[in-house]
Amino acid sequence: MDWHRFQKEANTDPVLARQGAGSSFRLLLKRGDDEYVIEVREGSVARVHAGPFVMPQCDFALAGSRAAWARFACAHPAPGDQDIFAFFRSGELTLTGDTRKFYAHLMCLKLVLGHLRFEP
Amino acid sequence: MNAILEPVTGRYVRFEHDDRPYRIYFEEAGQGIPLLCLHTAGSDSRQFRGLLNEPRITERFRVIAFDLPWHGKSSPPPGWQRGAYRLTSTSYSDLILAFMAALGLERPVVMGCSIGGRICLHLALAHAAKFRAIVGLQSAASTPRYYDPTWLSHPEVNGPVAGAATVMGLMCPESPEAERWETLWHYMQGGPGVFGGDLYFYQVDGDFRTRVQDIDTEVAPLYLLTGAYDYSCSPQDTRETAAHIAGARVRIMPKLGHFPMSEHPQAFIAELLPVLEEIADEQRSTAG
Repeated sequence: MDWHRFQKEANTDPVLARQGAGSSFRLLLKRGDDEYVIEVREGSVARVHAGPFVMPQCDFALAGSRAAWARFACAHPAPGDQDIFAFFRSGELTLTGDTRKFYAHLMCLKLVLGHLRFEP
Repeated sequence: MNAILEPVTGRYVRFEHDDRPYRIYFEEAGQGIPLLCLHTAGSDSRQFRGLLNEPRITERFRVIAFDLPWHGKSSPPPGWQRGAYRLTSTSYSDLILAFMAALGLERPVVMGCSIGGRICLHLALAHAAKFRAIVGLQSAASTPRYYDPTWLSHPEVNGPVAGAATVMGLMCPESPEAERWETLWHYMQGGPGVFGGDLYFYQVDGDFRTRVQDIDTEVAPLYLLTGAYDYSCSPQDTRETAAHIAGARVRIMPKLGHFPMSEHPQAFIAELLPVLEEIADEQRSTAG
């Protein structure tokens, strides 16, 4: 994952800037054995911290296999692979942590995660 | 200025139902066979703006779309502040029949999406003779609970925005951006607790798995159209439901998601026109 490109594209997205305005949270993204904390401050991706972590500071975590995240991050996802809730239904992604905060910042979170997809 | 006046008219109808006064907003356009349209959970009749403005449909069909009470411009009945909103199979189907009676609609085609698609199955079982045909969009007998909608009513969560965020991924990513975001805007305007109240019907009360096999499509033809990108009511869900209903006609729409008529009206109209042609032809042959 090119996290530098992810951060740059997210932070130049006018939709995220408007719809994510005011959102601040720390997402622990688990991709197989890999761990990352995506730190969002006021609707911008402030930093991506790469693990491994012993006791990561985060508000909530999304965990799935490398294969599941790869399907989600495909530039043109197949039907059913375009949203984290689809992976909740299939059981391929799990949410843990502060569910209230997850819902409170869900719009910003989904717009941020959309930038895991790069056009080739 | 190059202004366009749409052929769509909006009106209110008032009636007593279940011992309470209702003031229901509806929009309509066209003439001919009545086509009664039912919006999704947490949204309103604006989802059918494309159909209402489509001459290939309105030249043969009188398209009517109403806002359920608590949705869009149909306010809740008096006293709403004292109780929670909760849609049920009975309250939903009774309200549809009351609206039809109030407008004097005789044997319309009914077409509903999501919760509207689910109630179409109930109508097909209990009231088929009242309809010329039944078209379920994103329709299946049940939906698994893969998220908890009660969070949408949490006082520290902006429910309408979180609701929009919940459903945004149900659309095909390639649907036009303007139409996708208009679809989300409708959700962002929803009343507090309304989307969750609708989902009570969708996730709990409206489970129809044990009864769909009793639907008689000889009384009213049943069409089930499902967008491929919908993971809430997936093509597989629709096919599994249809497998229990003799005569159900399934059409999977490859480039659409959970809100076909709203997320990409033109693509949906292209899918719907052959169905409406078939319904109109059957009507002609029956009349002849």
